[in-house]
Amino acid sequence: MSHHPSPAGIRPATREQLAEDVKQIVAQHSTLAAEAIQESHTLDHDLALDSLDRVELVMELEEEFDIHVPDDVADKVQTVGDIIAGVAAILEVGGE
Amino acid sequence: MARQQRLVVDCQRVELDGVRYVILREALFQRLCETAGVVEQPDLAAGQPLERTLDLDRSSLAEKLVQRRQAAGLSQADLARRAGIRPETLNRIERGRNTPDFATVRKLVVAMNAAEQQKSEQALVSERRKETKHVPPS
Repeated sequence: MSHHPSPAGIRPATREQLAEDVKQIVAQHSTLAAEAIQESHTLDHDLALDSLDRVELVMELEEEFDIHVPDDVADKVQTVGDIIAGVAAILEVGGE
Repeated sequence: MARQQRLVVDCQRVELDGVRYVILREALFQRLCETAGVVEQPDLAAGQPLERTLDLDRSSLAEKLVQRRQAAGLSQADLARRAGIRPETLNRIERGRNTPDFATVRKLVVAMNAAEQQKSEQALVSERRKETKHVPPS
């Protein structure tokens, strides 16, 4: 792992910062670079993540942001935007 | 006055591995395409993408799972017991016959991570024992 977005457990100040951080983490599990990842990208088709990758991605997000993502929420995530929105809701990070 | 015939859509919704799909009869799908003026994409015509996607995910998951389990030094029965799932379920997942939900895959990953950590800690302890044995008396 070459990039650590924010120190574990620290909450990003803005949604933009959070989106950056999430994309960096997603990039480590996909073949795309963080800059190429878009919020509309689907995890299965666009990023070719299988179930194991998805679980590892969610567990890494939980560790980085010191949060717990319920399994039923994680099960419904389809796009990178869904992940950002989900983490933002848990961390209560607004869009300012 | 000719009234446009109303099309009744008889379909089923399913969710597989976090993705929602609508299943409907092929004839109805073709009529819907005609009505909407939508052209079916050629490589989607064989009705393969869904199966291909699921097969890819299943085989990719199955292959990686077996590799990870073996690297953690666990038998199928060990991993099933540690993850709290039925051995038959794990066997089906590893043969690509079952698409597990998020909760099941998470249980497997947590159990494999713990086993891997245990394994590396044991290796470290035995390494230290070896080193201690080789320290010449001062």
